[in-house]
Amino acid sequence: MATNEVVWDEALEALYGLPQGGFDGRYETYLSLIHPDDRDKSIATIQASIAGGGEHRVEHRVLWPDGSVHWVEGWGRVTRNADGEVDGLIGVSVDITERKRAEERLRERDGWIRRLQGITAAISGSASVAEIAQVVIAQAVAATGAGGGVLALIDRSEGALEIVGESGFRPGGLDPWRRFPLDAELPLAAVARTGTPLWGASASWLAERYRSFGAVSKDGGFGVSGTVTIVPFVTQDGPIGALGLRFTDDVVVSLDEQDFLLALAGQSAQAFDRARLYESERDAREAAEEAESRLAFLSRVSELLSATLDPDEALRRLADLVVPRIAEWCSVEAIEPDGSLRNVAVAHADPARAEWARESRRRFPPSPDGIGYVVETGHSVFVPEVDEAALVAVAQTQEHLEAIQLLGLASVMIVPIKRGTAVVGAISMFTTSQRERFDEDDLVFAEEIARRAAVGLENARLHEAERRARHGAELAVEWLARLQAVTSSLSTALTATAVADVIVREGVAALAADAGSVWMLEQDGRLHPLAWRGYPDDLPPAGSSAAADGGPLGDAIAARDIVSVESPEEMLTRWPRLAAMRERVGDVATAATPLLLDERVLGVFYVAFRTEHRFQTQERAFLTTLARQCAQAFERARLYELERARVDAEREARATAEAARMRLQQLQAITEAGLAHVALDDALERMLAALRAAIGSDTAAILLVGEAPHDDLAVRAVLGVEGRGLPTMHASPDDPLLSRVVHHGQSVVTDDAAEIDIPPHVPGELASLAAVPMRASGRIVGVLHAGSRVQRPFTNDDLELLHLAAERVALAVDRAQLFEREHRIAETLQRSLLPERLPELPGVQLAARYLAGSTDVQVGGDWYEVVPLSGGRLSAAVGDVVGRGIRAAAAMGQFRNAMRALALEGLSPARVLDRLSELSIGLGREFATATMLELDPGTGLVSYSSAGHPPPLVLPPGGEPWFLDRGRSTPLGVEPGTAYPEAVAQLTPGTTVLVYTDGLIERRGETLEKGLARLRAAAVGETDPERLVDSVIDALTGEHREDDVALLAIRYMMVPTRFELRLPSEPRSVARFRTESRVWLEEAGVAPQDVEDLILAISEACSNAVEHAGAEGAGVALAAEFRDEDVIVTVQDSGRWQPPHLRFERGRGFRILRALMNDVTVSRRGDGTEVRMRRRIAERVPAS
Amino acid sequence: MSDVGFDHRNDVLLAHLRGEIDIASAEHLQDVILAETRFADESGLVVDLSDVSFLDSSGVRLLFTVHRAMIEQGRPMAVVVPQGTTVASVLSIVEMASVVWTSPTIDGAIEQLFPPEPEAHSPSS
Repeated sequence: MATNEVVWDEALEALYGLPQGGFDGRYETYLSLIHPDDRDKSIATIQASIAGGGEHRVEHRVLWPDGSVHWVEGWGRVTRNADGEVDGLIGVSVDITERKRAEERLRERDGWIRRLQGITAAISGSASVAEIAQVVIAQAVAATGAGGGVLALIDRSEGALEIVGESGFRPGGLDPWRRFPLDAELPLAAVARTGTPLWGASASWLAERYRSFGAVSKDGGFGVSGTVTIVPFVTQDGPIGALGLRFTDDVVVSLDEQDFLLALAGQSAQAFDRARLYESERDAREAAEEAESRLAFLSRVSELLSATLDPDEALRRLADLVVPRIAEWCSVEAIEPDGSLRNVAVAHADPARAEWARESRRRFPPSPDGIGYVVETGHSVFVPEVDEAALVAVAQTQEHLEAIQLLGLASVMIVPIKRGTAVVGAISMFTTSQRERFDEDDLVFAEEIARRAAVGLENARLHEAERRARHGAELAVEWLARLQAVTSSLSTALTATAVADVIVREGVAALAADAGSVWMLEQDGRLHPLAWRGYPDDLPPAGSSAAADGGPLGDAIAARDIVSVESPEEMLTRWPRLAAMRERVGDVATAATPLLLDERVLGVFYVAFRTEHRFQTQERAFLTTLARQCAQAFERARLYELERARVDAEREARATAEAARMRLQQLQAITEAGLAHVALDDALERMLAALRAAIGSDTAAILLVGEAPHDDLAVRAVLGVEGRGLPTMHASPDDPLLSRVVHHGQSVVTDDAAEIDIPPHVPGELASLAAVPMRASGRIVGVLHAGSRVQRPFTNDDLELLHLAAERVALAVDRAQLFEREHRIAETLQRSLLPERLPELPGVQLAARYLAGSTDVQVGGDWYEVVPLSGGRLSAAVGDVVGRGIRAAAAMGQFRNAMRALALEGLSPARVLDRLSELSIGLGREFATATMLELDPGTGLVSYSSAGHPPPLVLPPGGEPWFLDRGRSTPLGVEPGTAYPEAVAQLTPGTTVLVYTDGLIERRGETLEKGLARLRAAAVGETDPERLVDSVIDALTGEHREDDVALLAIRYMMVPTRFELRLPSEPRSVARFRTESRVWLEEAGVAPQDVEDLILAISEACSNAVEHAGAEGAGVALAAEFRDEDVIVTVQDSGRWQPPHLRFERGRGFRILRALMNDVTVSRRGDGTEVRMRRRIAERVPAS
Repeated sequence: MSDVGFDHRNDVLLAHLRGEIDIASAEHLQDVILAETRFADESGLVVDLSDVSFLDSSGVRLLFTVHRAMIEQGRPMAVVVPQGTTVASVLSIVEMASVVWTSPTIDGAIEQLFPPEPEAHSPSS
């Protein structure tokens, strides 16, 4: 090994394809014989063997000198010297080529599968048909060692076969055959049509079999020299194409290769299908996107055109938009009114050339052939491919031609911009050869752009016109908004001052004025500031409290219109006397607006600027409207304040009424807590009897504690004691027995006679006594005690019984006392609701009674009322509100008050009932009856009406009683709108009418007729009112009345309304005139002062008559009468007539007359003189 | 019915009139009063109407007539007028008080005629 020598035998040389002895024994030679791919591996194995010292095995290929490859397997081991060191290798080799080849074949099949898997991955990663075709061809060529391949797919829509991929052909050689009919007489087409593969067909066979193949082959495109194999692509829908493989020699495709190709074709057919589907989708999507993009572009165009109102600017933006989206270069021309063209915009994709393009446009205005044609015809110019001739035609000069040649134009479009049918401009678009040329789609698109541009421009034009109009409208809207703000603020202003504040605040703010004020025009014509702003607080605003005449405020009021000045000069010219004020306040421009409400001036609204200000129309309109709103708000505020006052008053009245009602309710609650009638004495005696029997005492007594502070003990009931005199006894603190019971609440049991001789009502013979306190309502109300005349013990049981009895007695006593108290209260209340006293009326006598139901503590609803009317008449009513208690009492009070008011208003009885009926319904249908009547003592006529009430009884003096039983209708509140009938009766003087409630006549189980008959019988023969009511009550009501009773007796007396007296004309007659007159006047109920004055006047007049009477024995006649509220007195003598100034020469008498009487006239009458005097007198009240 | 009675107090003649004074009685009463004053030494006259229940212009005339006579005699006269009566109102109508001293009481009337001398007051008071 150290020698690096390799020693081979002959067999080994044969293994390496060397002739015998051909191996030179060198290691390097040995290595060179090993296949280069395996060389390193073999060296490594051998080296490892030497290092490890073990055996080794190598497999490597050997390249024989003839170029063939053979597999050799060698085994070897190291050899060692005596020292054990490795000194060489020794081994044997065998040829394993055959075995290796077999192994490789086996591996081939496995390789197909892996190859297919790789292809699958490659195909699935390829999106396009072309990519898939390239993969498929490359794999097929590689797998089969073909010289070239071509792949074609069927285009069903056109019945053609299209080559989509190729490999191994001369470049461009297949171009004429890129696409050919599917039915062509060519092997590729045939396989694609039939789906039947063609394996290893020879060129000669193909030429024979397919007529066109010769031409194809000859043309050299397919250049077939060996065999051809063609595999179809078949999907479930049938063949979709084919793959052709060309071999340079007569290769026969192995079965494995066939399998592989078929599998490849199968896989790729699906992929093609998928890819074509994907591509068609993508195309559609791209088309859609393009369309969308164009639409978006168009809308961008519209948007852009509408975004600016300057037409030129719009067109400039349009040009910028078109480039580079549509064209590389764009120029926009507008046609001026005079027909000339004006370049508006130029845009170029290359900013560096944009200026040049503009310059070019300037230097070479568009030619008639281009834009001129468009302008003239309204049609577009479309040159998809610009050739030299076109350029020459367009070019105006040689220079121009060179210029446009330099641009390298490839395609041109010029489209018109039209308004209606008129062309107003043109858009020129260009592309250079570097870009795609325009097509028809682009033209359509460009025309659409132009159309939109036209619309945009038209809009801009219209917009400009509209803008001015809108500006005006917007101003109006703005003022309107301010007014609305004011209105909404005003809606919360309830008082005049609040309104004024709002107006000033909003008005000054809206006008951006410096100051403002609102003035009220007062009754006296002066102006009073209500609110102001923009003035120092201590400085009253301009023209403070100025009179309504003069100055801006006064002028505005006078003019009933807005009065304004806009500069200090104008102001001072108009109102020179305001100079000082102007200096002080600084108002320079002012507007005073009257606050008008229905032509009424309520005040003035004043605004001021401290600099000159021109009042715009809108501002004036605003001020006027504001003033109108202010005036209305003032009025509203005034009404509001009135209403509030009214509501307050009403609320107060209601509160008062409510308080009264509450008081009544509380009273009722107390009342109703009481017991019904209890026969207390009976109950107590029964209780004492039971007690005495129970404990076996001789006496039993109940003592009640009196009212503080006396602490009197009154004997309320006693048993076992002679004599029923029940003394009141005093329980002093010293009293050992009672004091313990009453003051300390102790029970006392004693058999010490000395201790019990105290109770004076119990004679001192008691030997034993037991006394317990009676408690009720938490206090000691009395003492219950039992006594024995013989000494005996009272047991605990006795005491307990006493206690229980005391409890019950106390309760009974307490309740009874409560009842008594409440009954008194109820009756007092009832009486308080009835008239305190009856009026005194001349010619009428009245008596009335009210009797509460005796068994009830409740208030009843019976009532009566008498109301004096004018002329001595009277109105009277008796009514009965059904039900009891406070509710009835309250209703009764209302009826009574209403009746008074209505009667005083002058309503007749029936009409009063009409209204009371309405009232009843208003009160919640209080069921009530009533009789109303009106008596005129002057005539004796009584008119009356009855609402379900018992008929009044008429008692004529010395005659048979009868009833006022006409004029009847239903009770009050039964039927809404009832019109009560009214009847009239004539009374003779001295007749008494008795009006009453049913409590007087009704008895259980008895008819009304019987009751009336009883009344009649009881009343007959009695006409004096006082006696009548008493006797009727005595006769008809028992001690226990269930119902309350009201009755009213009215006696009609003849009242002499006239008085006459004639006496001899002598001095002493005067005294008689006085005396007789006094009697008449007093009987007629004339008030004392009136009587005195009238008597004095009569005395004077009569004295005069006597003094100046004529013939001796002539008489003096006095006549006096009541006439309405006057007394008229005439005194007449029969003496000779003398003029008045002579008659009353001394004057004093006449002077007195005139002082006392309302009128005095002296006139001639017959042959004498008549003095006529009138005096207004107070209401007459007859002396009782 | 009416009458008059006389009385004296200090230097004053008191004439007490009573009843109703009218045309039938006035003239007679007037004569009686004038006659009485003529013989009386008193330097003043007070006519007392306290008990007069009625008085008309005849009575007024009486009073004025007597008053004139007294003036002629150089003697002052006053009338006692009961307040709140018809008599008072009559005299008020004819404005008696503007001519004749009147007073509601006799003492007052006398004081009208002869006002008391003001009493001397001590310096310390």
